[in-house]
Amino acid sequence: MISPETLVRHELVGLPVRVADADGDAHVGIAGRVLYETERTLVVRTGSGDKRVPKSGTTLEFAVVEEATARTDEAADDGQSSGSASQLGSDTAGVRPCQSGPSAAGVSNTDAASRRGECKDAVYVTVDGTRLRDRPAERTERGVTQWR
Amino acid sequence: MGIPEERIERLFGLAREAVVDDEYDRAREYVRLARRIAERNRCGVPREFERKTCDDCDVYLRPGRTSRVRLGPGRVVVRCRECGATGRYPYA
Ligand SMILES: [Zn+2]
Repeated sequence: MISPETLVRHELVGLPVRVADADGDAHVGIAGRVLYETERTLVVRTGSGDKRVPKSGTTLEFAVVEEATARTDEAADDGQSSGSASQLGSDTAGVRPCQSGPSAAGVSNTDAASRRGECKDAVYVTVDGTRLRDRPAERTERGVTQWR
Repeated sequence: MGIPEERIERLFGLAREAVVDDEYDRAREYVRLARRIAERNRCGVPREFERKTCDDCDVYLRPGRTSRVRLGPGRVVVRCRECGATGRYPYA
């Protein structure tokens, strides 16, 4: 489970994100789900295309969601899908009525929230993007690696 | 379950979602990243992950879309419709 403490070492792909602040004005306000991660950038899928955001010099606001896959409806519609689909759908459905926490109001603009389709009560974590600067696969190791 | 295993689990779900969206290359990216995490942390990938991803082109194998599933004598034969690689696993 992703917690605010483990976020910088955890998987960012699939998480809803909003660029709260950035060195370049063009990047501020970009909101959507993370598609890809590279060493120095994140690619975010927004309502108006995929945007590449640098990690350094940005303040990123992640919504920590239980299931990275934020789709119950599509999964249900999809009759053809493999066994994992129905399993996934029911899992997410179980998570759905998640406890209402103090959701940060005004954090997500409506358009972004509807795009994400996640529950509103997710925990929001704000991170300095520079802390995420590492290779995607190696970010987890931070200090305790089994390799020399 | 540690963070590496959780990341692999998440990426597996995301890869499936990408195939549902017809974005096979995105699914491949996720599967590759998950495999890389597994080898960096020496934790391996779950059996389900092994069986539902293509060994050759890394795409998530979804029956009818990216894979063809047939039963052979004593084993399940899964062929990748993207690259033609075949995987087999036994059934009891
Ligand atoms: Zn293949």
